Amino acid sequence: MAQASRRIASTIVAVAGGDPAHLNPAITTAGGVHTIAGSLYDGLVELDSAGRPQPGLAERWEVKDGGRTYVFHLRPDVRWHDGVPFTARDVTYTFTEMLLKYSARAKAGLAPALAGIDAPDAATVIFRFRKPYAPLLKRLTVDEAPILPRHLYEGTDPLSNPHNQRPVGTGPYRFVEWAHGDRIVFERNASYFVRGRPRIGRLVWRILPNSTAAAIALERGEVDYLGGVDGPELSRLRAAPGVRLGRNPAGAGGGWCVNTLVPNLRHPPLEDVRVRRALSLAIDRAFLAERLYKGTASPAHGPFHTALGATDRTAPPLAHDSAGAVRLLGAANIVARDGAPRLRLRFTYGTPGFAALAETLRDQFARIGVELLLDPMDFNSAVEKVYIKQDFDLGVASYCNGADPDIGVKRVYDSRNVLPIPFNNGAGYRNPVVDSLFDAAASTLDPVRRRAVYGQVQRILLDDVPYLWLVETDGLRAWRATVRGLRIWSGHTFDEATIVAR
Amino acid sequence: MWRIVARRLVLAVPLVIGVAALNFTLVSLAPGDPVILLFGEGGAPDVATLAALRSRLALDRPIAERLVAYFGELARGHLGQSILEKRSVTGAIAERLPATLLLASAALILAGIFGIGLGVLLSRMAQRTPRLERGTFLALLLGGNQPPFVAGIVLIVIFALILGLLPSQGMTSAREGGSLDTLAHLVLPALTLALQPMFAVARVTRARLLDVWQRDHVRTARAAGIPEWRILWRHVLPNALTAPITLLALSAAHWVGGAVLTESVFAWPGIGRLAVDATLARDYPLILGVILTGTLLVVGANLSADLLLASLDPRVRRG
Repeated sequence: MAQASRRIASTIVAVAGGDPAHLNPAITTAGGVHTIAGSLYDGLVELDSAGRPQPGLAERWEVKDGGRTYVFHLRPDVRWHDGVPFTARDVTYTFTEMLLKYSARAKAGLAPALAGIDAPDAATVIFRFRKPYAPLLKRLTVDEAPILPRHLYEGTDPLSNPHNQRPVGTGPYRFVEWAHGDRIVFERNASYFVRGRPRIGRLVWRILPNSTAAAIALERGEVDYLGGVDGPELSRLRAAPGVRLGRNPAGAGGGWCVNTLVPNLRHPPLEDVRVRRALSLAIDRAFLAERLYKGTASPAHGPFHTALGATDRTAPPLAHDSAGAVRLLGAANIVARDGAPRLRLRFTYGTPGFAALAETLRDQFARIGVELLLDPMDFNSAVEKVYIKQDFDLGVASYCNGADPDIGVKRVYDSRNVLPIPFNNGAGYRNPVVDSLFDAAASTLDPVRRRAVYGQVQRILLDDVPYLWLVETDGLRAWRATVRGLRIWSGHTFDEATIVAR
Repeated sequence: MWRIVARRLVLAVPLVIGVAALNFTLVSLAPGDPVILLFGEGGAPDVATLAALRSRLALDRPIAERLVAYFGELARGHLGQSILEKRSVTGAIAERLPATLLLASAALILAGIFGIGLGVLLSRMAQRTPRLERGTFLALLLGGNQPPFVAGIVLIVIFALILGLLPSQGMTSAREGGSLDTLAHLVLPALTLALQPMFAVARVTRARLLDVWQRDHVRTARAAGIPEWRILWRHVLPNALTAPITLLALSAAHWVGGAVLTESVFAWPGIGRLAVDATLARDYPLILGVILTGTLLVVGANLSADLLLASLDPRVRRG
């Protein structure tokens, strides 16, 4: 008992790379908000380390009408941090007024499929769909669909409600204070509905913008947990005594991310599939993974992150063949004249994140006679230029698949999503067959048949090369060896964590 | 004296207005869009939501019209609301300004005391061991002119990681607290920010001292048998110090600019980092508020420098 109370009295110090704008994860998909706010809230379900749905705010559920209706039975004993009881109306309010209006992933995938959400009584929520809908359970975690308190938000503008800065949730930790630019402090929710959790008394988020300095702070024990490790810090942290490393592709910003080049298919000659295939062949992905990302990423196999296991068969690694690339360019009548490069492409990207990648790709494309004209700018300007103004040849993005392809893959290839909004189908790819296959997959409940449909999508996309997939990021985390029981795949990272004697 | 203050204050008003107008125009013309990243890496909900937000922020209005509205708000003392955090810009700046002021004053004191001390030491060495002095001077010139993001990391590696003497990140530690804890956190960032002006002060002090030591009144004092330390204190330093003090006071712009870099390396929660975050997010009202605050700080520091010099040097006082 004495030991248990000592554990509860302890503190975990976690690192955030920047101040989140607010702590309302139902109006944004920003990883910076979700990573921190996840501990304050709950979803209807949780996913275990293998991605299987487990009870959350819903203690059980039934799937009816062949997947058209989902009935969730809520826990009766849940209270908001201010003491007000949690009810089904909190769920319907959060979905209709926040998630389906402002959370881009919910709005893009769930909203078109949904016919309605009802709360027949305080402990029951019913989701009704127009067609059978397979991915619902994976969309209901705290990362994708956190539930917020209706009694504090109803009748206000959720984007500017003051509780976005002083959040009230149902989650394992409750908000204490926020010193902007310095720290955000949470304390244990003693009446959390999962008895005995959490086991840590305080969770302090330190805001440390410099990744090198943050790695040193972990090495020194000033902090306990880094939610992201960059390539340059990896070798020093590997060698550091008392530091543990772990990797999991899941993450609060969507997870299962594939760093991808975005060719502007509206521009000739990128509309020619042979040119895109040639560019893909010119990329040495193994080099990128080993030398540039220094082991924090692996070569991409295509549109689906391999760890997601979304398709019936894993695609082979994407080939690297400079001679083949030159032949394809020749076939497309892209030839060098008077010593000038065969092709010049303007590559628009955000710095400093993609600067080293741009330099490396310039070298690799130069080997097939394609000159990459670097167009570096800060992240915000690059996003505006590529997605809003669509004034680019090649862009780059980290496209995150999410726990189900319907969450994060579909939106990138769907022709109904060629719109001036960020991180959507920026290439401008339109293929009605792909659109209908994605829709069919979402309506297919049988997992084996569903994987076969996504396998078909994969074959078409690998053939069409609407994007150039580079590497899959591995989601590397580092923590002090004294911290145990981290759930690094979940927004509820610290639910079960303990600190052992140093 | 008061005439100097009044004259400076009158001159400062058009300066601040001009800077504010220039900043507003530059910030508005820069590429980027404050609403596109509001909804996170998953994209934005839809085109209509983005358009409605732009319209609510008047971003769809001509720049001239927005500039007039901005000055209207400024005249009433309003800095507006942060687009990102949806709280008042004045509140956001008030929360972060004390940290920057603490860092800048600590660095100013360090640069002043150690810069002048080092200058005295170098001038004495130049007279006695000129070769050693030249070597030391060169080493300091190279070592002391590193930008904060290089000098900061080097200091962190030496004093925090290898020697384990000082904390490296933030203003207080997560587990302890108190003023001693803050002092320990202050040492490395203040030193980083102080380095460049410290060596500039040392160089100027050294040059001025070498000059003053040669003067007739010093030779007379020596001939009269007055001890060296007393000559330094009474006859040399007062004549030599106006130059380094002017240099320190006029480097107010360095404190504001250096704070941006130093605060990022040391996770110091001041307005320098607020400026970086606001700029990356294109949070226009917050960017303008922070720059205006920086402008007022620089103008205020320069005014204080004039007053200090006037009190030290009668020639300045008489105008």
